[in-house]
Amino acid sequence: MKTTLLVLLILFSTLLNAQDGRAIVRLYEKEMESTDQEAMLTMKLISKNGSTRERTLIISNRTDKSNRDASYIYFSAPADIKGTAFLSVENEAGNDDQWLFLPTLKRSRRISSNEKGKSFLGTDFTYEDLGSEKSSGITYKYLRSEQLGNIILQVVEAVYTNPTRSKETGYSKRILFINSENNMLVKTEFYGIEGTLKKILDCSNFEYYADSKKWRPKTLIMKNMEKETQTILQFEYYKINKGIDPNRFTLRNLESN
Amino acid sequence: MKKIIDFIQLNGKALVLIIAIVTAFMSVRLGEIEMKEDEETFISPNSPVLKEFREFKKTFESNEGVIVAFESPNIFTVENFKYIEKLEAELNKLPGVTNVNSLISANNVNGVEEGLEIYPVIELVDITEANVEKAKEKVIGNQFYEGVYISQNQKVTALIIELPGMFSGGSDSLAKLFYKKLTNLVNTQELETGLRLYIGGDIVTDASIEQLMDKDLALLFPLSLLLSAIILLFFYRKLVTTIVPLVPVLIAIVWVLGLKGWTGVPMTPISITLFPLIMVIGLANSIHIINHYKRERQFESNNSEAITKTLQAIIKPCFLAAFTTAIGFGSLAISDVTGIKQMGIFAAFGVMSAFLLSIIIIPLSLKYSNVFAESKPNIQSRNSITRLLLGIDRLNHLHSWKVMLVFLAITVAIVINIPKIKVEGSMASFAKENTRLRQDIKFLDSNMSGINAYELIIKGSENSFKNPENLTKLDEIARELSENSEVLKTFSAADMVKTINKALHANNTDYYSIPCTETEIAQYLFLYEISGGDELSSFVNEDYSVARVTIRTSQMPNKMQKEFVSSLESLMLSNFGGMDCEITGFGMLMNHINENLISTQVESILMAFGIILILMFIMFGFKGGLLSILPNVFPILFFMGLMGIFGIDLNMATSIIAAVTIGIVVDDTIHFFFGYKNEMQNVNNPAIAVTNTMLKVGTALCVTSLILTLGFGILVFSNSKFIGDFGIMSASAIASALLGDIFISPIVLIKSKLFKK
Repeated sequence: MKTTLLVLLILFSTLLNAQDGRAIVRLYEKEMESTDQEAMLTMKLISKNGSTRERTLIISNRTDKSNRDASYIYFSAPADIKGTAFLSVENEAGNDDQWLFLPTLKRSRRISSNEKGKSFLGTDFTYEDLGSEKSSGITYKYLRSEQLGNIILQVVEAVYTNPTRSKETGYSKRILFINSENNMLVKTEFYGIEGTLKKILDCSNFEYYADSKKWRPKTLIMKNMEKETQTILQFEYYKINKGIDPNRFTLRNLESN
Repeated sequence: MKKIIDFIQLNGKALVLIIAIVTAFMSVRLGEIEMKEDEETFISPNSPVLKEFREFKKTFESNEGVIVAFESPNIFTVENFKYIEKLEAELNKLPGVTNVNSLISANNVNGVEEGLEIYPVIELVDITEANVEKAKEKVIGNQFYEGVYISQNQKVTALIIELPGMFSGGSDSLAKLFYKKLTNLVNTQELETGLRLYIGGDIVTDASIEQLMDKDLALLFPLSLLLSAIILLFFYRKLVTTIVPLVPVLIAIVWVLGLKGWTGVPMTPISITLFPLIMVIGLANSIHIINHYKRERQFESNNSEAITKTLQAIIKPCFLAAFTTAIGFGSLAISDVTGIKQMGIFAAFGVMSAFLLSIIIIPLSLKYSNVFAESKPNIQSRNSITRLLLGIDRLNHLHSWKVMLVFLAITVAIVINIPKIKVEGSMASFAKENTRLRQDIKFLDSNMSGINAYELIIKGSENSFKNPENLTKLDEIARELSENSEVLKTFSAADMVKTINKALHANNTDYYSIPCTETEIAQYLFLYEISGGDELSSFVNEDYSVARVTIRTSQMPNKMQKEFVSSLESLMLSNFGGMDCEITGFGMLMNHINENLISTQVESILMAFGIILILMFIMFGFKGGLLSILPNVFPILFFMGLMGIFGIDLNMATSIIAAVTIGIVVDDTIHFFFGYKNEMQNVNNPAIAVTNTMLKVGTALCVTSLILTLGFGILVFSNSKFIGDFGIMSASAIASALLGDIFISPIVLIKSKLFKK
């Protein structure tokens, strides 16, 4: 009888922890949700030997009524790639159709690549890292609370339980550190399939956009522990839920640059 | 001299205490000696060639890579593709691995009607016969695949394991763990599939060599100890008399290893020879002391007096013998090859330590034990050596010109083979031909695009290599090099730009060219980069100011290598005259190492010869000095000729034989000339003096030469070809030096009438 009770208690506490973890991540997701968003940023790629490459770009995102995502990226610097633009639209099958406009060719080209788990625009971020938390195939577990200065961080473990997704992303788990006050992600540790620490993402310089009642980080630093490289995303501004014209996410717009 | 002898006699116990303290001090760091085999084993970290190579690796983030390959009559089958997938998954699980690329997983840039596809040539979920055939079409003739993932004859496929910075950061244990797990995996896979897997890469070579070094350490030390014990037992017939002479050499070895531990100088492949060499060379001191003491004791009943007389007679020649040997080793300190330099210094220290320890420990043992005085010599063997020496002496007297003519003929016949010697700087040849390491390297070298790579580094200003003119020049260099039959493959940013240009124009081959404007190039490269192409940083640096052309070549002889490098220099000069250009890469390192090996051979022998000649002048006068060198030139020419005849390469080990052996073999000449000089003072007749010297010194020369020949000869049991070649060639030099001393020395002394009043 005692044993049964103990097993039930453990099961219940595990369930409670799982619920807690998922709930914390859900709050962060809610904070990040928007129907559309535009941001201008400088992307700094730092190689292993310390040399850097910088690019300035404007990223626009939109989620339509069918909950399909679309992104439009316009590069404004350096001069020789100015005008290059990238369009990604989620199709009905849930995959992304991608096009690139090179000013020198004066028309767009469709790019088809196996992007899952691959680098986003040559940075240390992958498409997975920047996408929304698609919780299928992931189990969230609340680990602990941590104090960082004046803020309390909720530490949640996101374990990839689906082997296919784990293989695609190259991750076995992530450890998320979420600020309990504003529900913003402060840090993420990414672990490879073999359990080794692959990358660390640090988010800082949070700013509150009162008109849309949203918090956003203005600095993201992704350190790749394996390649010894890092990418710094420095955001100039965010425009959240301002109603971006859906036509921005069309081929015609891409080619009219 | 008397003061030294008195000091040793009076302070024996104190000296033993000091030896014990020093030995204990040295022993503290015995466990901290590292095994090491890498670029720094050959080249000083301060060498500009190594600095340039490291700078290049840093600029282009050149990671360590390991190749795993297998052969099949037709690689393009469903079964083989599925096996590549399985093997790739297994390799990905190895520690430290960040990525594995193969025929089925490497991204291929492919132009299609409406755009660009960057995908592997086949989808893993869809490996069917038809798709494998389609993959074959994409791969054949594709320069990013051929020679990299598939051989020209399409029968060998390779998987490339990426192991980034963690190994170059000095994490030796991780590299070892990786190698261990890799070999376990390869063994398991071979058992499961019946396929033979071939592995290669710097990490594999280094780890294999370190394993061979471990085996050699475990084998050569006991073997040389056993050989020494057998020889001592043969001559002295008692266990105690066998053990005591070994004590000074064993302590000397502890000192050498301790010094390595304290100074942090690692064990390198060549330093494995330190144990047997110090053992056999050092043992000679003890044998000389004991032999002389035994003779003294026949006439001197007072033990202490016999010891004093022994030391008076023996310290000087023993010191000279040890000193000339130390000069031979010490001359290696001028080598630019780090491993050789270290070996020379430590061996010289070991030889002098063994001498010092012998003249302290052996007399003390003689003082407290009568066992040496009582031991009976092996009369029978001594008599047969004497008979042989008398026969040789008769021959020298009766047919001196014929003997000299025979030696001259042998020398000429052998010397003409010296130019056949090949220089081999690659550490892979450390292993024997039949080892897996050598077989795998040979296989990968002949089937894939070779391991010998030269890198042209061209430094311009920011965005220089977005400029179409400069990219066209890179392309021109590749075109010109493709006409050279030794060049297997070239890669540069120009290839990448041309491939993207073609792909962006629906794979139209008319567009396989460098675009006309800088903006086009910048945007094409950007497209490649943001599409997940991570190879770009391997060919141009971040700000496009430095470009690299990789040239893979077949293994070339030293002379051809030099010509090839100068052709590269003129090619760079004619195309990029205004820019700062460098040639680096593994091929250049090898080129530099090969040149260092030749200069080590030449400079060390000249230095050792020079110092020894000065010593000879001091001891025997100008004429005597010159004559004493004659019998020692013969063994050097003899072993070098043998190297040419038997195809033994000049490598890290064999390049030091000349300097090492000259220091050793000259000892016999010193003994013979000293003996002759003494005899001349008594008889003043060269013919009689030579015969008397032959009888008095000849036996000792034969015995010590036998010990040294066997001592060096046991190195043939080494697991390494380097060490084996070193042992057998040194042994042949020492044996031929004995012939020089018992044939050439007597004849030149008779004919020159040296020391005649």
